[in-house]
Amino acid sequence: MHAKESAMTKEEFAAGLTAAVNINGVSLLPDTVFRQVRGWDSLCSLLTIEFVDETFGQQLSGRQIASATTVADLWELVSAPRG
Amino acid sequence: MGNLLPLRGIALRGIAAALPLRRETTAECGAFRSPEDGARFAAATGIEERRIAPPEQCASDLCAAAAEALVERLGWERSSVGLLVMVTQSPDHILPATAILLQHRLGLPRTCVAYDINLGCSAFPFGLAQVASAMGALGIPRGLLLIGDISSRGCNPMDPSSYPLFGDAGSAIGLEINVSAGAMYIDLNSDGSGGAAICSRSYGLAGRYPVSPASLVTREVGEDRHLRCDLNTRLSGADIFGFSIREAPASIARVLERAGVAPAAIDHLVLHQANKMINDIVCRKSGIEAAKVLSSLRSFGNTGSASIPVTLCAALDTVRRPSRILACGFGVGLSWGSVVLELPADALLLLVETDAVFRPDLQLDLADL
Repeated sequence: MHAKESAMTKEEFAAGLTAAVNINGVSLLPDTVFRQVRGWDSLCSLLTIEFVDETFGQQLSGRQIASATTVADLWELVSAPRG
Repeated sequence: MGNLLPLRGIALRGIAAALPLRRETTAECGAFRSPEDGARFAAATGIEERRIAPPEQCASDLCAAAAEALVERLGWERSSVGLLVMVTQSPDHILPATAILLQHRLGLPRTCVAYDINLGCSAFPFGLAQVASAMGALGIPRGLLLIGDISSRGCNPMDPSSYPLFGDAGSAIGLEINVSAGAMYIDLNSDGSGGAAICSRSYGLAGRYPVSPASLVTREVGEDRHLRCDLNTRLSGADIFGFSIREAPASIARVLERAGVAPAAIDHLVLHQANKMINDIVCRKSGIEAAKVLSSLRSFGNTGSASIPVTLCAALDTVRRPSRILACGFGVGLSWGSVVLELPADALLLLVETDAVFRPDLQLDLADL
């Protein structure tokens, strides 16, 4: 149903998230500590949830986002097997 | 369990909505650090401007204006209105209930059953279920459901996560017992574990966090470090977002199943006007064509409890007549629900615009206390 799910690498996830949050001149990488990025605000968290829902069909909670430090942590949240 | 029965024999007769006159554009909103932040906000939320009530105007004033227009349009004798329910989270006073003051203000009879309900974004489906079931059970021929909030005033104007979202509005919905009315199909849900997601912590003196001088001190609070005081509304956007895109589509699916209709049989989908990101996702998951979705976010923002009536009245020219509507409200509580109903051809009134402030009913003077 969500074709990209299994295929997406950390790097592709970071590139997709960069486009989704669209902070002027900022490129997110897997090891980027996203909350420390200049310009990251509460709107970026919402855009992250929107991106993950559209791409993975999965609904991240505020708590899950708060538990993540790097972009790769977010990727882990959505690519980990569900149980 | 949870499978609510359809409400039969109650006809929705009319819907009116009232807005204050003053427009505030997202571009001129002072909460953002830079014009670029404002532009990003507008693009993501779909909100270009909102209506902001003048300082002394209350939700009851906007609801009363909508009710006056509606009662006149329907040609109802005021003495025939037997139920008045006000759904608001910005009442005139903590006590008495605003609906009771409105019974008097609107010239309704003393036999009128009047009370308030404290709900926000889910007000429309909950309010309809409450009013229609009370009318049916008690045999009340005519009822008014008033829904409105002054959401802007609860937010700190410097808080970019809440203040730029909300517009003020009031509304009135008229219902009447009618044996040949089409059924209303309802889905209603509550989850208090998410109570902190949208919260005004302090109110009055008897609450969990009684108002004190410290309640008024504005400081950077919460993980987002935005400026607020304890009386301000705090919105945890990420929590609300995840909840909304998970639960609203599920509620829509349940109400469609209860109504026994396919998404294609719905003429219009009217969602609580949360923001464009949330509403686009809920719409996509609902299976209802995007062309059938009504929105008033651009001009009025998130009008809280009144957002569904406001959106319907704002779409007066495009709504099919008559039409089958699916409305879904979701948010503060957490509380969410949906309704499928038949909207008669002449049910919607033109938006009322007013800065009217009614004379206070209670001349409270601190010196007298």
